[in-house]
Amino acid sequence: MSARNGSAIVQVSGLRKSYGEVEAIRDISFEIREGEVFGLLGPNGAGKTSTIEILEGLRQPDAGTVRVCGLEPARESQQLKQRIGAQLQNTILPDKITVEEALRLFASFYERTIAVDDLMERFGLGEKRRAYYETLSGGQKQRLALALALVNTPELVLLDEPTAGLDAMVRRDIYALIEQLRAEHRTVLLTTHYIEEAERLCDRVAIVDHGRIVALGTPRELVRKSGEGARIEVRLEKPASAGRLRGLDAVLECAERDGAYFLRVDPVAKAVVALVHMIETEGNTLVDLHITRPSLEDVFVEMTGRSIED
Amino acid sequence: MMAAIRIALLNIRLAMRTKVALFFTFIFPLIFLFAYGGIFAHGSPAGMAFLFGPVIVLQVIGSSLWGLGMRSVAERERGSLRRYRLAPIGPGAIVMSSMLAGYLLLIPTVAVMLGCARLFFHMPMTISILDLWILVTAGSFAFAGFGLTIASVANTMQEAQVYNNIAFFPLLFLSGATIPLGALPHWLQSVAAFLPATYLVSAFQGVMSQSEPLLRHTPELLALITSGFFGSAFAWKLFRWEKDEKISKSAKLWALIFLFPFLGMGAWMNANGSAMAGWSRALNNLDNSGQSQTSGSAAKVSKGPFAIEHVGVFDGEHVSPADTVIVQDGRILAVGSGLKPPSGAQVIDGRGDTLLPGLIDAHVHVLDRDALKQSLVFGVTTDLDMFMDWKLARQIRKEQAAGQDLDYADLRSAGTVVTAPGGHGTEYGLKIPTLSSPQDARAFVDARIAEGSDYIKIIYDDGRAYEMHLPTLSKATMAAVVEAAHRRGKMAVAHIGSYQGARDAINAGADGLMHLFIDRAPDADFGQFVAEHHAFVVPTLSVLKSICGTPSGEPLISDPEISPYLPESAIVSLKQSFPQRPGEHCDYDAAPASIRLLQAAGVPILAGADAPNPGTTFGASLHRELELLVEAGLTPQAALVAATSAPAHAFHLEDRGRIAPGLRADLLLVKGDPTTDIKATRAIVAVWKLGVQADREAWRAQVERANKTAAGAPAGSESGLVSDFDAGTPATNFGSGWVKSTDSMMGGKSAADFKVVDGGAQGSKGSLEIYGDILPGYAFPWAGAMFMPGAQPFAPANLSSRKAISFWAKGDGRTYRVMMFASSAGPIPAWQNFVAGPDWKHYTFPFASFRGMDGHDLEGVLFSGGPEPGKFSFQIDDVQFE
Repeated sequence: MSARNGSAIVQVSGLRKSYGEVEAIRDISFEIREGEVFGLLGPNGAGKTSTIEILEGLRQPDAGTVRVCGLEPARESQQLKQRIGAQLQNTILPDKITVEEALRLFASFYERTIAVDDLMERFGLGEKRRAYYETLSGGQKQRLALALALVNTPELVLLDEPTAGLDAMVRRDIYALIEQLRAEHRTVLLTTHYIEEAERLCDRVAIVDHGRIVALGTPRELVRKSGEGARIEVRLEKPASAGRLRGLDAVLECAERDGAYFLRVDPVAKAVVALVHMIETEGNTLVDLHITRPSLEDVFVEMTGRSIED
Repeated sequence: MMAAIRIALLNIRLAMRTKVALFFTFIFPLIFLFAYGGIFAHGSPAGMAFLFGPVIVLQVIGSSLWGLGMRSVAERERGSLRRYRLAPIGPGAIVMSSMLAGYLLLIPTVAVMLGCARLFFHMPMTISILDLWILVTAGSFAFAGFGLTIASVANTMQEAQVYNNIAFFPLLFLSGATIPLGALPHWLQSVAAFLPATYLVSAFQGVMSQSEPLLRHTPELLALITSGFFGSAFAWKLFRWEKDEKISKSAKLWALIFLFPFLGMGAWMNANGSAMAGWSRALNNLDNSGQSQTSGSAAKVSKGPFAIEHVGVFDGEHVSPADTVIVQDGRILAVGSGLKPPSGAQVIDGRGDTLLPGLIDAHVHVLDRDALKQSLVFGVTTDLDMFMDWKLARQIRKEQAAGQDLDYADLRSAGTVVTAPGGHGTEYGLKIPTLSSPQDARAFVDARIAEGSDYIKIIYDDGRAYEMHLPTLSKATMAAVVEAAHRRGKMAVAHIGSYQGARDAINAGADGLMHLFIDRAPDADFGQFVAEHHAFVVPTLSVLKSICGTPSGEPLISDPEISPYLPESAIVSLKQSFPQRPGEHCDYDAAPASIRLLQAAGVPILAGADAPNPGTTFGASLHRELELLVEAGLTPQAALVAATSAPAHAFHLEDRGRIAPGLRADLLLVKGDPTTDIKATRAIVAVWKLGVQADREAWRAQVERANKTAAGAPAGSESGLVSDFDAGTPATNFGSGWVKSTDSMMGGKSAADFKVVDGGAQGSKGSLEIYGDILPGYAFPWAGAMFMPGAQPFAPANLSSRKAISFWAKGDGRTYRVMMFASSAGPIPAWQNFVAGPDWKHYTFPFASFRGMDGHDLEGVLFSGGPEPGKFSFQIDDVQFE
């Protein structure tokens, strides 16, 4: 089932958290295994940040059990903080602190650290080491935030929306850095509301909505779970009736728009054979045919009944 | 801990990169320093020493509330604290790092301020670096805790600003940091006692302006440190990483616990008013230094420095190892061994001489400016008056403030004494209010303070020890007066006349006893008793000796060091003693016995001669008092202490009484070594007041001239006849003639005139008719005609070859008075009554019947109506000295 094997470094079960009337987390359970990149995918307000902050020991859960690196975050937060690295959704540092000062200061808080110089090189901050925080670009600030999450060679890296608010170019830059972590077999938990990010970076993804996990698995599994079906868009020389197309073998639905027919089919192969057969028997000619496989986004829409951007 | 230090060091580095932070850390406090020093201290070094504490306190409060507190709210609001939260450090590290950064930024600020105060204001180093550090540290700790507590209960920046303003303005204006505590109205002082900054300010000023040891301020320091702990504990307990974590309203109230130590301090201070008295004292000291500085700028002070070299130095407390004292701008600049005088300094070779602090006479009655002039001539640079005309005291104060006082001793005055109706103090002719009940004590004392009394002098003496019966204050009234004085930050000293009186006064809380008693020997516990009540004693042996019938000052007249400077009036006074009353028992030995007990118990003994009472005169008598103190058992050094540092300390005149840098250059240079031979104090080489040398020679020459004129009887007085009025004019054979004299000069309303009329006694051609109207307005109304025998009006004439005055009188049947004025008797005349009936009657009154006058210094003979009101008319004839 999983791409990698390993023991569970994070175990969450029956997690609940409310802020007054608002139930941020209704029931969340999952495990993260050592060496995997685990994503919490969901729209804003789904409960992702609350979940990650409970794992970081910053918030107390109302119910449920949480184990991170074998520790209970709410009770053993100081030990835990030595072993995890984290990046806040919105990291803010003092205006006049330099890149190097920030890294050295935070490195000084930990028992185990890695060389700050290497870290700066790796995150492309070497030239900016003496620059004040206030002079950094958004991407540089985010790279620094990521570097700060790694100063203590953490067993688990928690990244809360690592690319939120960045433009596409910069976002790809950050993806590369996270992919590098994946290549190093680091255990990473990241939250995101970008489907592309989850598909590209994560070994496993949990889709979170309204405080619940609605689906969990590898991106492939999730897609597969929503069926082997696909969409076929077809244009014919002569019009055909939608009812005729709908009656074809393996075609589940059919709609006509601007002279094109949109079919939802399952399984694809059977439907294509039936479609070609019908065109031949009716003496029609195929002008264009387009087959679309379902994406994680479709899965999301299917699971939650709405688009992630809603 | 390490994390806290690292964050603190980083925060300091960040502050150094921010212009605003740099401005408030270094530039802003210096602006304050220069503004305070320039505006309030008028650039005076002692003024700067007084204000240095407040300026530091302002910086401590400002940097804690607006710097530290606001910074931590801002960090939270901005969100930069959250990142620390992910690291394995707790709130304690953040709170500690803030306090540490604030403190570490404060230290260089204070250092720069100290440097500027020293460099630009020549502030004397009246505080050790260690004490300064302790005060700054305790203050920083307390207020950092306060600032962070406010920060931790404020949910937003705006809220924090509101809280800061609420806290800051009382701290700014009521703590003494801007307005000296002693200058606040009394009720505001009570409020100030509840504010933490008050204690930091008063501790600073106590140490820096009043030479108090820091240990005396241990309670204040403990309160500051305790509140620092409370404050930091709260800041830690209520610490919030996130701006969206709100704090509950009840938690905000808990934060007020920070003020708990000061509720205690405030309650204690308000219950124990004398503790607040230090605030007024500190202010008085500032006034003094301000005045001195004004006088310094009044052109009379020679700005040029001078140095006394190779001189023995008694510094007011000990024989000093120093041999050089350098004076500049009216202040002692340096004291040390083999010091190099500054270039251009006048150098005085003091080989064989001893330099002393200018003497302080702790008991005089100042009749006029000459009293102060004469004091200075004899090396007394400060006179502590114990009852005088407060209006005169006010004038002299004004002159002192204007710097016109350099040829007379610096005056501190009790003004009007506090006595019962008809009690001691009312007999001198000066109209004074009196006090009858404890309820009126506060208003009475307030009125004295309004008149300008520097301290309160109480008369508690029923006269019984001298076989007299005088009304006096009740014990309760005396206690109420002491309390009222202490409430206003003034000392209360008590004149006593008996052993029991002394004990009552001490029990009533008097700060000092004026006089010792001679009615009986003290009990063995007397010294301990006074010591336990922290009172001092001014024995006034000179006057006690005179009371017992020995003219105590007589030996001074024959002392060649003293006599050339004694005016005739002084000589007369020195020869006098008090009249002895039948049945009066006088045990002078009780006084030395008391002194030995007091000294053994560590009670401060202060030298005071009580001039110009019989047997004493200004200045000179203090030297005799020192001799009597040594005879009573004090070592010469202890006697010198009694006339220098002891009175300065007892009366909170910490700018004098010792030879130390920064103090007033009030100095006395004498030949020989008075620390082994007390009489050496009389061999005066020079006297300086505020660095200006007293012109003793001018005084001596003036005395010589005056005594010469006074020596012979006035020409024309050979027959003794003044006037027979037979020529139809009021012509006189000598003197400066007849003049009208009425109480209008004392503010009364009586009127009089005189004319020569036909018909005199024994059928002679003419006589002098004196008529007028006695009207109420002055307590001792008079109006009449006065003959002045001197060549100039009020110049004394020597008629000591005569024994009596005689004259004829007739008139409306009322009683009249013939009053004699003599310069040695002061401004208060002595008189005899006579009746002017329808027929001429001859009267002869011996000089001696006028309070023992001998006629050697007669200033005037006044024939007067009154004291009963009404129109009067009488005639006199053949006025003659027999």
